Amino acid sequence: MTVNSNAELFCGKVVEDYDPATGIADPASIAYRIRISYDESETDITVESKIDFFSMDPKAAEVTELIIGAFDFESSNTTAGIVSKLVEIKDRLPKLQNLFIGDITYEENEMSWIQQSDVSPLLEAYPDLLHFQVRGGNGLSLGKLIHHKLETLIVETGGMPANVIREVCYATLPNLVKLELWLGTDDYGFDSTVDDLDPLFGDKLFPKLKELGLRNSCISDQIAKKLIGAPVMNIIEELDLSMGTLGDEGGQALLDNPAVKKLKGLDLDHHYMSDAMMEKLRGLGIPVNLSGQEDEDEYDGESYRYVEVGE
Amino acid sequence: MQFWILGNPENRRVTFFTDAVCKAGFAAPLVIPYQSFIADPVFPTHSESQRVCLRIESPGENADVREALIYSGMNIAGPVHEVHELVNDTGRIGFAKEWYAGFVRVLNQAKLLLAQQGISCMNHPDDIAVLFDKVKCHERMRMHNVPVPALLPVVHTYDELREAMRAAGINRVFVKPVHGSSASGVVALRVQHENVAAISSAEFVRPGCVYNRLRMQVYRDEKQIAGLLDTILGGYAVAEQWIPKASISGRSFDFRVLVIAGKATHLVVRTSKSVITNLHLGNRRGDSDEVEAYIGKETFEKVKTTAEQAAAAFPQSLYIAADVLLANDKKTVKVIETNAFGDLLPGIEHEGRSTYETEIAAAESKTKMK
Repeated sequence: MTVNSNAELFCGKVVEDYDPATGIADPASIAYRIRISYDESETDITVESKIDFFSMDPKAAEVTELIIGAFDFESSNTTAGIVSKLVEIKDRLPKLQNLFIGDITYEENEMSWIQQSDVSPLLEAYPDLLHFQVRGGNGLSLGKLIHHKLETLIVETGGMPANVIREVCYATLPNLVKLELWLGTDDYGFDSTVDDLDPLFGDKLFPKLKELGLRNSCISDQIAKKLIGAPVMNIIEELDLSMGTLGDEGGQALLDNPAVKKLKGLDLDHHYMSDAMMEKLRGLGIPVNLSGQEDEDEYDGESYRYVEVGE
Repeated sequence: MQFWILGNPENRRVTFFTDAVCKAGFAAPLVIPYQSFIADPVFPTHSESQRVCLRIESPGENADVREALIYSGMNIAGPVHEVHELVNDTGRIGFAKEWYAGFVRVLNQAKLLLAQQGISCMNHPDDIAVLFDKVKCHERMRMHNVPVPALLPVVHTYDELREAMRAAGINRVFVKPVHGSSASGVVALRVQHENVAAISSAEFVRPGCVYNRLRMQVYRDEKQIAGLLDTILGGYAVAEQWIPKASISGRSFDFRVLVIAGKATHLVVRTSKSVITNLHLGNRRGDSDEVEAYIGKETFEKVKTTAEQAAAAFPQSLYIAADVLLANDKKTVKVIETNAFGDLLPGIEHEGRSTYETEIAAAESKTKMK
């Protein structure tokens, strides 16, 4: 399975592609996406030049949301140029709060082929950011991740490189409320173990955390087991293990975890649990999303589970 | 008016059309089975006062007819063990050129008989022959200034394809068998640096042996990809630019637009979680009102007028089904496929009429005008 559509809503606002011809119309109700079309990719037009234009719009100073979409179809540039351009024009987007780099679908590119870069200069340049989201793990670095206002961090990958996991685990994000990591699989660059995620299971790293998402993971069962007795369970209200490979083993671990019953929501969409296990989880007394029951693939006598988004 | 159908009598296309003809108050159509026409290309006789309109249907979904067309294309009486095995091996891809040669022979014979017997037709044999040749069809589209994705020069191997892609600066293509229909044998290929991925419903077994399956798979091993594409390209295929489609609610979409007598009538939004939206592959119809609201009335109209433009390139034919792509910028519109037999759209109505009912009414008013 793959990411099949672009963002239609972003932080509560309808997403529209920015068109330099019409400019910024209504930043209060529209979240603008800057990207190049396939036809434009054959011209001199770049996302960087569009960002420049965007930032010189009279209404740029009112903009609170920005999405960067497909930036390259043929020559495979990285996002480094986009990052430095956004840093360069930071004074023209003084109210920017919500930023998403990489709203790119499977039609546009394989997620594992999106060429990311060190995006930490963005967090430094925009100290008022509340929401930072990035898609694509290839070449991605969050650098020394320090930000005093950030409330939401979402990192979507088909295989999260070890450096990114380390950077999150050593981050200083005192106001972080929501953390969502798409860990992915070893086929696409995930090369960590569940122990490498240890700092995330404590309650000291992000003391204000309310929502923890360890999604799209090939080690969902192991994560579920680690969560038994984990201090983080005492501070969060919502746990999201969706899009992954959770099976009965992980389901049982959640049942055996008394803290789970205190959650306000548990998202397990896209899983490999049996009907019987699903029935038991329904009895938890909290809202549990159990849609997307998958079957293991049998091949040469071996069973395989897949994360929802690899490619 | 009396309708005749050149078709496979057991096929639902023939039954549905027959029902529509009867519903319109005409006598049931006379069916000329492909099987007998290939063996003995004659039409029935008819009285001079009787107006006859021939509908040429798809010869598809019939292994015996496929086999006979291949022998006809090979100029032999058959049977050939290899061909017989192939057509009875469900999904196996092969002998496309020979099949096409056999089909064109049938079309030419029909054309001759139409002229000799003074019979009109719904879709003209010459047009059908072009519609089943993607190279000729692309040429025709360009001549009529219909927007189409760029086509690479014809190549025969994977290595040649990569070279042609490099030369054209194109990193993503759809490889389509020239005489193919539906998604059969279609491969979506993209490359980036040392990475290469191919998405297809074709299953590569070994060089020269490829099956058309109902499930998409992704190939990442270049050896396999090369084997798959050597086989498909070796059987005559073209590569065209792969333009990313627009998407809604987690599915990408495009449009099947049926144009009858110059006017876009029946429209289906085809949506898919895969990059190939053909409706046979577990994909499904989308909500056209929802899509219209999403892309805007103007763009929706542009999709329809572009389909009409494509159909206008075939002035001898009554109905043409164009598959129209809307790029992810929600502005760029391209015709990715034109179909001679693309009117099997059960349940889709235009002004209260099914596709066949609208075609029958159009055929009737066309003969009245003469």
